[in-house]
Amino acid sequence: MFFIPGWLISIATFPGVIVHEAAHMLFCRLRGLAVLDVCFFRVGNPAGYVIHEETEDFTSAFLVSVGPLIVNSILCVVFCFPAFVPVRIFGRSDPLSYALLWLGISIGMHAFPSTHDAKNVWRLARQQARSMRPLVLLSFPLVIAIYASNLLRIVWFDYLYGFALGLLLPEYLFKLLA
Amino acid sequence: MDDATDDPRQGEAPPANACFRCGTDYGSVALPRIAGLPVCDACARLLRERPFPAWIKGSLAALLLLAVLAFLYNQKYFIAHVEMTRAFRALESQNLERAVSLFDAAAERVPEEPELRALARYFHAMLLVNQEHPGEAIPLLKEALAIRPDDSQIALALLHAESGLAYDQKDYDRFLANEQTMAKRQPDDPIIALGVASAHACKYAATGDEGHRTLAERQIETASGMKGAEGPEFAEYLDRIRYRLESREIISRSEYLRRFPKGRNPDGSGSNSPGPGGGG
Repeated sequence: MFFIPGWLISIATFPGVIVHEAAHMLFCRLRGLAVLDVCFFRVGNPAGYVIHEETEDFTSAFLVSVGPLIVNSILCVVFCFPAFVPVRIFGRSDPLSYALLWLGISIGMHAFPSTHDAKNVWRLARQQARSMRPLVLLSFPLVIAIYASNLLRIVWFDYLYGFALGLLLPEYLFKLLA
Repeated sequence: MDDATDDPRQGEAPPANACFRCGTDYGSVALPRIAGLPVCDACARLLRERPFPAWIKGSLAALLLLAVLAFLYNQKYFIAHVEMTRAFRALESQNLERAVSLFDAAAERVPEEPELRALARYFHAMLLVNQEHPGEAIPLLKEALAIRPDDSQIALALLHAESGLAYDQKDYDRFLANEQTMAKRQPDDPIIALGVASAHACKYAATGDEGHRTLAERQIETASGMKGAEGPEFAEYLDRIRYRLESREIISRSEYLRRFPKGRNPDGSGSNSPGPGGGG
């Protein structure tokens, strides 16, 4: 395992950062939360951010926080799908397929919300745990998964997630459906 | 919200009822607050419905279009992959004919893929050998071997087809030589070991040389002691060889199956089931 500075990874996978922030913003809009400031990409830490008003509504907080997990994961599959068969199954090396794989995996790599996103959900989930709402209950393992995924970034978990989602999942689905 | 400063605008203390965004001072009118900041209705609406920049919408639309076009462009690979997957499934369920037609279709769809062509040629050849047309299988296997020269399975299949052709041409010396070569390459395969017995049985049937009969019996004994010698395929092949040794009549597998559709032994030990093709 080798270390690559985060900013360099962000530059190499910048579409993922943009989609990540756009996903936060999308769910802010869908839930009617004011977006005070947004940066889709920059060379720095963080590589992007969305500053929005805080909310005590759990559903809104949950969706805004896990938005990237939903949007980035979907777009990762969408962009990798047209390329995975020619590249992975037939070993073709056309630039368009590789570009789509780079795009898809870059987006998939940034699917996991940051620990800051998770903190917000965790705080509200703890407050509302007694309500036994399914979304609240679901948020507990999800927050743990988000923390774990952020921790495992040092062993390239984010890349593995993007790879698995973009290349292995379509292959598995193909086998299942063909 | 990612890590970032919570207050995007920190300047001199503005009037209490001035919108933090557009700066309009509403005087004594108390403004609603967002994140603790006074904001007028127009700005609040704008913040809550903040539009995505045109470059984001445009890029996403262009990339999605690119993905769709790439999918259409690569469609033949997808269909070929589906056919391949179904072909392997057909192989698993012992449906060689269906597998061959699917492999052939996939190879035709993606003619620039030599590996797929090799696979299609190989299984097509296997089908032809099973249908007792080893002569037609040979050029297909040679083509497959030209693509994959190091593939021992294709090389063995070619030898098997050549062996079948020698049998069909009643060239039992070549038949025996080929079977012995195969047995050297696959010393643990009981069916291939029986192939040597089959060739000796042909030599015995054709010449009456008792030496070949003895060698055939010895080879049967060796093959029967091997791991995997219990299956119906083995039993059928053995029964055919025994018939040849007993009757000194050399008949094709299909003729044998026609005469003895339920095998020769009343106990069923020689029951007929899919066995090695090629007639030998």
